[in-house]
Order: sequence, then C-alpha cells, then structure tokens
Amino acid sequence: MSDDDDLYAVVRTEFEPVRLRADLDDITARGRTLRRRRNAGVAASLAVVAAVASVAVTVSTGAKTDRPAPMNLAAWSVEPSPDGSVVLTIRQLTDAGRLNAALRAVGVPALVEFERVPADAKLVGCAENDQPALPELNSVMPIGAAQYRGGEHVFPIRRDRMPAGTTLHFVLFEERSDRGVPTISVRTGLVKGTPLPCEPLWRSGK
Amino acid sequence: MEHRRADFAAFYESARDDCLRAVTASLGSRQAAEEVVAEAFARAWARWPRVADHPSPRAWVVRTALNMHISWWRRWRGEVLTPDRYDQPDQDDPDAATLDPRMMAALRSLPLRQRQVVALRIFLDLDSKTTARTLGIAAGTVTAHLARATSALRAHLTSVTEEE
Repeated sequence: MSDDDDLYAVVRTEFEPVRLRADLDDITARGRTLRRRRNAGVAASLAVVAAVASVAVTVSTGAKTDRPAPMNLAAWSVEPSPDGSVVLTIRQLTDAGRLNAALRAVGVPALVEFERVPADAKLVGCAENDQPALPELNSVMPIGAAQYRGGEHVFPIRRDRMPAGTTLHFVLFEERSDRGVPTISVRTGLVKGTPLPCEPLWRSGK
Repeated sequence: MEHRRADFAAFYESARDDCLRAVTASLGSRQAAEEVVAEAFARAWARWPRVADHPSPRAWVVRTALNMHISWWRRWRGEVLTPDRYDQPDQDDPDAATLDPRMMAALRSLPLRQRQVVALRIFLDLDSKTTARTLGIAAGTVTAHLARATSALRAHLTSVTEEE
C-alpha cells in the first residue's frame, strides 16, 4: 500500500456491503415516540434531581469528621484509602440513595442509579442526552483499574482528580439469565454539575 | 413540518450507511451497531432542528450511537464483544458473511480509541478538530491515535496479504 488513502480505500471497500436496513418511516416513528416521552419525562427528572439534592443537604449538614469513616453494608461498601482514593465495592443493587450519601460523605459527589433490566429489553444502557461527558473520567477512574472478583464489583475512584464542580454518574444494570442468575453491568460518566438521571433505553421508545 | 421531514430524509439517505459503517468498525459488531445507529437516527429526528445546526450531524449520530452502546465496563460480563465473538458471522444477518473476518480482526487489534478515530476518519472523513470534538479528546491526541492506528492497520493487513 502506497499511502494512507490507499489503506482507507481498502477498508471502505470492505465495508461497502454494510448498509442500514431501517427505513425512514420506522426511524421517524421512533423519533416521535422519543419526543413525546422526553417531554413527559421532564417533570419526573426534576423530581429525581430534587430528591438527590435533598440527600446531599442531609449529608452535608450531618456530623463532620476530618477523616471519613468507611461504610460497609452487605450490598456495598465505600472505603477511603490512605492514598486519597476511594474504593467502591458493590455486591447487590440496593439502597442507591444511601450509597449516594456515603460517597458524598467521603468527598465523591456522585449519583448512583440501580436499574433492573426487563427480560425483553433489546438494548441495555441510557439514552443519549445533551449533557457533555467529561474526558477526565479516564483519570478519575482509570481504565483497567476496576475489577470483578467473587461476586464483587470493585471501583477505585481517584477523588483528587475530579475537577471542581463535577459529579460522577454510575448506572448499574442488573439482568437475570433464564436460570435467574443476576449479572451486573455498569455505565459511568463524569459531568459538570448534577447528572441527568438515566433514561433506560428499554423505556425510551423501544 | 414537511420541509423539515424532507430535510431529515435527505440527511438520513446520505448518512445512514456511512454512520453504520463507522459504528460497526468501532464496535466490531454489525448487529449491535445497527441497533444503536437506528436509535441514534431516531434521536436525531426527535431533535432535528438542533441536530441540523450541528457542525457535523453525521458525527452527532455516530457519537450518540457510541454513547448508547454500553460502556467499556460491560466487557466484564462478556456483553461487549470479545475477540472470539468478533469474527463469527451472525447467522441471522444476511450481510454478516460479507465482512472479511480478517478485516475485523485487524480493526479489533486496535485499542478502542484508535479504532474510533480511524473509523471516523475513514467513513465520515472528519478532520482532526471535528473528530476531537466528537470523541471529547484533544485534537493532538486524535492525530497521534490516527497515526498509530493507520500504521497498525497497514502492518496487520499487509501481513495478512503476504501470508496468502
């Protein structure tokens, strides 16, 4: 191959048969549904944001200590490390509100959401919104640092690398296999201000 | 309204395949890509006046599709395609067999970010600045990723050709 353009042409040619099969009417019908749901969801989103703010106020007015204590529950734990990082361990998806408060108490502004995925969901994830995702996420939660071991999902968080005014957003999805075995997947983000709550894809026009 | 729909229809017709190709190359799965790209186009229509004003509506669709795809953490549970699954044509997909698994293997050999950068360059012909804005990284990083990805792809594909 003589140059980059030749290489790119080879790749383009190889992908030539790949064509999107959805027709325009299907796309616009889905778009209309999304628009309706988005309008209807604004009020609900505001209510959730208010609830999160309420938790934050409750925590911030609570007892303050120089060194936050670890918090361990059967479902999850939040443990500050001597190096300034925080280790979040999740075993079960319960009590997200309390987990939000626990993270904030150790200096990690976060919104944690738990979602149970219906068996008939075609896609798992959150719908796109207009809130920009910050690339500093990869510094706050380095790729490869997280682990899965013995039923625990372990997330080291470098709170010292979080830019001022930012908030981590965790959305944990629990799916169950045909045999009822739960599996957890995670979507993470770092945003300026308060994260917009996740709008699960299976509720957003599917 | 009719004018708006016609505008979107023209955009959809011109961009649908290239967006799907870019996302397929990024994700390594045509089936997963088709689902999220269709959804991304639906979202584009839901907010078309705004997307139409975007510097690159096609980049908006691809970015939306990539964002909708579950994050890299999902690979823990094997939901994100693993190398073994990458090369296996989907039996229900009539187009799957037409993609040379060696090409997919070459793309798969790239780190995710390099794959995204090269896919945006090849299929959307985005410049470094727009690619950087689309992926939320610095323009200089795009240049570096593209150079490495191109070099790695060339080496991979050349070695495959020589083996034949």
